[in-house]
Amino acid sequence: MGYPMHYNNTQEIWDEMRKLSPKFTGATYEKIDALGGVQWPCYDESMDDKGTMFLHEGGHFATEDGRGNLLFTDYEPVKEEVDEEYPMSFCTVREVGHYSARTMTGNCRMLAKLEDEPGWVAMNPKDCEELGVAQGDLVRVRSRRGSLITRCLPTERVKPGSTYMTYQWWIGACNELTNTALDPKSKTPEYKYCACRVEKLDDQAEAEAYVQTQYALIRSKMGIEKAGANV
Amino acid sequence: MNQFVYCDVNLCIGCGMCERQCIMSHYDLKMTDVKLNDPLQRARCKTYRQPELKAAVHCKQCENPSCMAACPVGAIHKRDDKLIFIDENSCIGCREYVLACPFGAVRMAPVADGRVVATKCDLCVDTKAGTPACVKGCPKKALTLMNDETLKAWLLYKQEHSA
Amino acid sequence: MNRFVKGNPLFCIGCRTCMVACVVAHRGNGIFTTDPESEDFYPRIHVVKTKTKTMTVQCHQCENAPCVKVCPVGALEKGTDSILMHEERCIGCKQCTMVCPFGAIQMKSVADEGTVRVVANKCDLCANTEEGVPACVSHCPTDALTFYEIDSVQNAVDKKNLQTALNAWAVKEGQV
Repeated sequence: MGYPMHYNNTQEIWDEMRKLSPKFTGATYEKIDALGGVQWPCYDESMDDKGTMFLHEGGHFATEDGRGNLLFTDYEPVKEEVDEEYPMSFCTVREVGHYSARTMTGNCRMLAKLEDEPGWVAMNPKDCEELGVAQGDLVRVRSRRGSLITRCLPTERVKPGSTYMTYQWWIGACNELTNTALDPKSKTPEYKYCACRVEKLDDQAEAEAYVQTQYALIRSKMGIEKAGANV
Repeated sequence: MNQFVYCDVNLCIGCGMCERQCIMSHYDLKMTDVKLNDPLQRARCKTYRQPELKAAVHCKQCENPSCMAACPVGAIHKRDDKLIFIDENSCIGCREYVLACPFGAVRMAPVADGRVVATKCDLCVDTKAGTPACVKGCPKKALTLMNDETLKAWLLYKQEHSA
Repeated sequence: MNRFVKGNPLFCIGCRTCMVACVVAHRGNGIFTTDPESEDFYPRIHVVKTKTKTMTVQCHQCENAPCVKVCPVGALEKGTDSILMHEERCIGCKQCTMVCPFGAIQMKSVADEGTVRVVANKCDLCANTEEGVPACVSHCPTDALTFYEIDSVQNAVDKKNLQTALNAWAVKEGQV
């Protein structure tokens, strides 16, 4: 964005950031290295200030009267229940190994070997059997909002009638399917529950080719020559 | 119910005679030929003789043993409807059985053919006498072979005394 | 007695850092400069996720290893404190893969002077890596993996045995 920066290393960037933030000025590289991590607030650079374990210790909150406010909401059912057209529930989860949108971890060659596009949809083995799909088969997952292609992962970890996907993938982009209904108070979209349908893809070869070309297209748009080229 | 050797710590003096009897009966040795520091002469129980601890620890032949499930090759099974038995010939020495026992009653030990296998109290089932030598040889009668009858008598005794 | 690595399902979170650490440790430093497309991924430790738990599976370095017994060419051999795998001797017969009761041995492709060989792949306790100690153990974020060295099993057993005796002693009649 045009701001002229010259840093020799990441430590210099961090030092500038923490000098501008009193709440973690004390979190120096040396301290983080020595302690393995620092919980903020950490105001003082000396090793005596090891950070704060309990943010609201003693019951002091950042409110007018210093007391915490507990809010209650009445139970509201999910906005989109499963039905005949979309008979399976769909949830989105995070998995350790890749981070959020994978802009960096997706280009880490080892992590890409561990998991790569188009990701997986986890389903109970009974549902997989009924649909006639095996582990690794490409399937189309559809909701009222959109659809995506991903691989089937049969696992006992999912109840029959339910599915879940991790939300890291670009081709297996699960948020194509999720609901835009917002929480009345926090305005967070209802990402964790909607209705979907899983469809078997008869032409697996065609689907595989599609995944490859899509991946190459997305990568070229991002300016990446090869997966893992940076790290 | 499985039979098992029970040590009454009120009577035990920690003399270690049970360890010697175990070795004598399993290897058909005289007392004078017992060497407690020979790894090939394995005692299957362990005694403690400390100022504040005199006890013997045996395999308890659990009814739902955590050890049996741990064996990947099925070398452990219930034998004669009364004990948990290790088939030493099938043992691959993976140590899962040893680590699974919550009492530390199973050990790894070398055998004559150079293999190292899991070993524990087998109630002297394959020895000449066929009954636990430690029970017979305990000078203080601190060890008892618990079976359905002796357990019943034991419980009855305690119930009557506490009533 | 053999040394070995073992996982604790109570601490394992199924993150698979151990699998990545294993591959990186065995690959060495060249891993960050080679063409990523050319990289293989053959970890010697595997994370299994079942309905109720996540847990690692790796070679147990068994004392009377069935894999050693079935290997026809001595590629698997009992070493002083582990089961050794000599990849150069392996003919890819797969019998070790079949016989291991834990499923800890898998087959992998290795480049060998212009050709590709398929050989058995199993945990070597990182003996052939720069660090020399199991990378999975040192990288596990929850300390779910333990490196059991020579006396570790005996120590663990002795501890439990003593505790059993102490527990029995503690409820001695006449004492509270």
